[in-house]
Amino acid sequence: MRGPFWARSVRRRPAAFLSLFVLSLIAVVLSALAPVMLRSLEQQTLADATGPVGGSRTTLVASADSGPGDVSSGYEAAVDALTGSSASLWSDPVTVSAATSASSWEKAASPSESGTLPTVGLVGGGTDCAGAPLLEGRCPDAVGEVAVSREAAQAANRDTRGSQAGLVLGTRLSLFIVNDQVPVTVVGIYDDRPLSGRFLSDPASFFGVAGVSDAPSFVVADAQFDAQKLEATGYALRGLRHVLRLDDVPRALRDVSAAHRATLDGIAAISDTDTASPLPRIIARLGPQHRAAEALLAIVVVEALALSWFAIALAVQRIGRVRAKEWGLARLRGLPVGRRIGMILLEPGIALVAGAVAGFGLAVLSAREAVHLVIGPGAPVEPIRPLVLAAAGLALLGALAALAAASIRSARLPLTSVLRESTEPRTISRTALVAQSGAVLLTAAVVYSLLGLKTISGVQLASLTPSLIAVVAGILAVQIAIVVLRRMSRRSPRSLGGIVVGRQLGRTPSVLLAAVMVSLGLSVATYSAQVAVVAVHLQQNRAAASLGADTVLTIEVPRTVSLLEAVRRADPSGQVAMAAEVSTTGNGVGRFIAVDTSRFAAVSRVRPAWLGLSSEAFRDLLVPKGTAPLTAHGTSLRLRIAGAGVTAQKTDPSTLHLIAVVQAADGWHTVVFGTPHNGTLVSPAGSFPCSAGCRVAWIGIESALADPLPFGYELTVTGVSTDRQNVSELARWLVPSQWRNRIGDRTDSQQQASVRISQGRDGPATVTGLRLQFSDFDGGNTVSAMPRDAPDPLPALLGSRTRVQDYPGVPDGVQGVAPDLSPRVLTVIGRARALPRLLDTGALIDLETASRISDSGSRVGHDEVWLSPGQHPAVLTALRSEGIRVTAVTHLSDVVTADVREAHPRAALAGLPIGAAALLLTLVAAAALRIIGSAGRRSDWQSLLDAGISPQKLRGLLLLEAFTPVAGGIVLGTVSGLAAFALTISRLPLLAGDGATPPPDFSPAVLPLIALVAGTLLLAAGGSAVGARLEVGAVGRSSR
Amino acid sequence: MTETLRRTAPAALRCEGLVHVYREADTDVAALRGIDLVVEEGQRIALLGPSGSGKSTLMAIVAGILRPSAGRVVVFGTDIGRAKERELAHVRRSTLGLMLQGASTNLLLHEDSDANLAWALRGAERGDVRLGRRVLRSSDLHRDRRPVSAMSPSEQQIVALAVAMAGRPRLLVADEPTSQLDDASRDHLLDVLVETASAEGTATLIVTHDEQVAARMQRMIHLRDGRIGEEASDRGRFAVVGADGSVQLPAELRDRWPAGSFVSVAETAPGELVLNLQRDEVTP
Repeated sequence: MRGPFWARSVRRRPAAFLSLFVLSLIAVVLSALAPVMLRSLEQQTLADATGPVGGSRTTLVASADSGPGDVSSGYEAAVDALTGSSASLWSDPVTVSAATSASSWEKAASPSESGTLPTVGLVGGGTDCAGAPLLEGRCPDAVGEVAVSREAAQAANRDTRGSQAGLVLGTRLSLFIVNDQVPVTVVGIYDDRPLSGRFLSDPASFFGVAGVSDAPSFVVADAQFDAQKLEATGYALRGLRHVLRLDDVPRALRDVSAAHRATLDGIAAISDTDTASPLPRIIARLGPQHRAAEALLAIVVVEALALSWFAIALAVQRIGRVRAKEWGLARLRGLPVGRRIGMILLEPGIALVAGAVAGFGLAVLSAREAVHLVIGPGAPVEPIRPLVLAAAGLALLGALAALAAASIRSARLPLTSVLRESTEPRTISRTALVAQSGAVLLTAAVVYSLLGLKTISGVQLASLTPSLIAVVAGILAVQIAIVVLRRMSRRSPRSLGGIVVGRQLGRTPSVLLAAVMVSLGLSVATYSAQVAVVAVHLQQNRAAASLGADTVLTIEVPRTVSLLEAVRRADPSGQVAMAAEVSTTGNGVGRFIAVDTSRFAAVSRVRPAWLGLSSEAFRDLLVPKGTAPLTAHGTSLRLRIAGAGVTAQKTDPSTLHLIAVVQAADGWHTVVFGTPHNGTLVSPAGSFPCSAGCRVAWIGIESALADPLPFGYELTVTGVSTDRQNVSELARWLVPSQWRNRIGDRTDSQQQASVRISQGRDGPATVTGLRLQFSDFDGGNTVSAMPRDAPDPLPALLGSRTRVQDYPGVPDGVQGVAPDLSPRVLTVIGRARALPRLLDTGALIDLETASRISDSGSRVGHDEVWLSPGQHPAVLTALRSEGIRVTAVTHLSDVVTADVREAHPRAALAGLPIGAAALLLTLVAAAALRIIGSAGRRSDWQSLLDAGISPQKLRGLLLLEAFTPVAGGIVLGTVSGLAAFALTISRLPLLAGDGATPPPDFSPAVLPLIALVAGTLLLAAGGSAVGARLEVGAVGRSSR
Repeated sequence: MTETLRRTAPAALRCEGLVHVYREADTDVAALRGIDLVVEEGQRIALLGPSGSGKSTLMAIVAGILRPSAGRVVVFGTDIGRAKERELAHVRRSTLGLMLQGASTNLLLHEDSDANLAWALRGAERGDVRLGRRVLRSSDLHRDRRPVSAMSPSEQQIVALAVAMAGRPRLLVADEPTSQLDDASRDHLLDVLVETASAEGTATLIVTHDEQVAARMQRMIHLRDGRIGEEASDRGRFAVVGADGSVQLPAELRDRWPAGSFVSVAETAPGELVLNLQRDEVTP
């Protein structure tokens, strides 16, 4: 063999060189990729949070009111406020204006007969109209032109039942602007569904303009505003030119602040100027996420790095033992200490540096693929930065330090031991004792401090918990194993395996250290896998809570169809489909979700336990048992009244109206009987549309005065009939126990208005009837009685952060709203960490109950059908046959995907390959240690062969010898990883918000654990078997 | 008075009252019990003695591998026993040539003889590869490219000698260099060793069991029970008076003069002592 000595040495022991090369490579790849990964993760979450360029969340908007007929003044003031923003960061300002007041419209060719016209907000296209997503036609650029939304066009077309008289290009409309009727022609139809117009500062409104109407706006030319002398608000918007980069965040925030200051300082010369950008809120929300990601990644990366250094130190130590004679001879020949250490360091140093260079190159080359693999395709990859170089340098420095420490130890071995080639110390050195004691104390300190922590945020000492626990468990296990093995070795061995394996392990504690290393690797892998599973699981639960079901259909229901009944008819089993009504736009109890509680448990993905209630309690509390509904069929309702009269002074009976409200499929209908009097009262024609049956919602009295006066009035209803049902058929109406005093929409907690319900009397003779005594000390209330088929107040389950105002006098009563947004008193039955759709803010109520105490025809929420997992074509067909139109379908998997793209689960998932790399590293190191040490043991094995042991038996012994400590390390590492998981998991920042999630489930995932342990055991067993075969083969070759 | 302590001039090796105690578990074992020895520059000395007499311990102390428990060992003016690691390394690379017991201990078996020479000369101050090659050439090994492990024991010893001499040491210390060799190989090795040492003026201290080997040296010192018992040279065979005045009986008399016997000592004339065994008196 020629060449320099170190090169010959490498050729002689390639496994030693290669193992150090690979360990260094893995360490550098891990450390170099970690900051790249973290940076990409943060950049991607920032990009996701801020949306596409020009999209809804990356805008800086200024607004200013303009005077009548002077739209440009508003524009100028708004644009002025934004002039200080960075031109390289923000696009040129675009403008749009919105009329301050709502307008209405009708088609000129077919004027409305009902007198009710659809309202609409008017938007002046400004300079932004050119960027609007036009489906047909063009932007209006002259007075008399309008661009309408697709939804408006489609709605109008539906109303005309498919005729050609709907809204198309060229349709002439009449716009009613303030007091003017303005003829306009449709010149464009824009797409309002994707909300992708350039001018979007508020995702809930089109063109970024808070609308004065729920319907999408009509776009007109600015000149139209001036022509009609409209008061308007002018908006100027600058969108980000590019995807917002992390480095640009401070500048972007400065621009937002500067724009705001410009408004406050009056740079914009006009009053009522304001700026708005969601950017500060987005960045503030991302901050904790990014810190959480750093913490989660740091835990795994730091441990993987420490592990690689430990593995390198062990490998160098093992190499030191193999090469001890060389270094001993150098010492014997008088080489100075420095040169000896240099000589020792040279070969492994070259391996480590070469590995580091290769690792850095590999990290650079594979950064893009690694980022895309871990974070997702298309994730941004930042260019190599000094931080990455520093991280790689740190990994190399650590590796060299580990090398130096192990080399110095080797260089200081007693010469007598070196020359006798017995370098394995049988007792623990003082240094090792100090180090091990230090590790135990540090672990105790870390665990103690961890128990006092609420959250691990950032790179903290607690990050080392999994490693430290594994190290301490390893130290204890090694010491116990040494004692046990040595005690065993003193006994007469029972088998050859006992001699070869037990005694070899007993006399070479370094082999047990390799087991500790494997234990560390598995601890990190177990920990990272469990954390990733829990993180994803939590996000899945959160997604399930935020959507509610596996599939959610957003639907349109014909006015004449009851959503609840239609869905029940479409799915008679009650296991597939559930009706729901959602309003997420309000605040507090204004946000609500009304569900069909009889089907909720079967259909929803929200577990009742998340709501803090059992399935039974959930249903029973939200739907208290009541009487059967009071119903009537017909087209005319008659009330026979007796004993009518005032009960309070100054009451003018002629100002009072007796009212009955009945509930039909299309909502509530009010039957005004007029001034009550003895005799028979008949409903006005057309006011009782109950051919298909109605349920009575309430009966009451209202004052017709503009300035109502207190009143007291009583009457006895002695008979109720319709044109199709006689008095006896509706006799139940007259039973007082069927009725209760109705709170309804009264918000006065003083209980000034009430109705007393009793058995009716008429003069001296007792008559059968329902006696109602109305009194209102305020005079402005609707004093009413309602059947006991529905609870009042309405039971509601609140989100954990729902702000409420108590309603005195009603236990657990709070002031809220009904689905029609009318004021309602609610009874709080509990608070849940996460309500479906609403998470921590809002109220969950029963849909059927809600429809009995509020007008389902005036609801403001949107209708949905929730479906259980699977394909349900029959149910969908049945829904369509009910006239229900599906406008959007949302699948839980889409929401899960979106949620998992948050920084927390991404970081936890990014930890997974790092944990796997750590495990791979330890297995590589364990194999390398075995290979490095095997050459020196061939003579032992040759002796065994010479003694008559068959090669097959020897292979089995070597397999046992190699596999036993690794298996021990795997078991120990699994237990350590689980212990660290149990200690830290509740403190890891895995959730976006504290309360806005279902109760976290921190139980370890069994299947991934079994897969990991079994896979590692199989890998180790396979590697040990192959190694044993190769070792026995090498012995055979050397003997020949 | 023997030659051992006669001179006080600078010597290749000077041992004074050298004591070494091995500590094994709870027992102390004295391997050397007060050795006084002087080796002059260029002188060749053989250390003989039975197993356990302290030969190898003395050699290890002279080589700086062990530190003495008491006494001094000075190699060309450097107190090896008290020298710091740095000084010790300097003595090893500039003054000492070592052949430890067993050729394989001294060599990198996977390397060839040339590589071993180069390895030995790392850091050497005076050596060059030519002297080592000359030793190898004497056995026709200078062109041998086999790894040392493939060589015969005698060839390995020649390589070990070449390696030890490569640094042109002023004191060669060799522990049982011929123990595994047949007579012919032994004689060949000794020929080479003596020739090279003479040519280089190298003082030589050889530990051996073999009287034939010892005979090739200028002085033969017998160790017994950790002390120098006697010394032989071309001037005759002498018992050696220790620093404490003790004199060991010749081995052949020991059976008749058992340990614990009472002896009367009388100086009958200058330079002449008479010992009388008191047959009835023994120590309890």
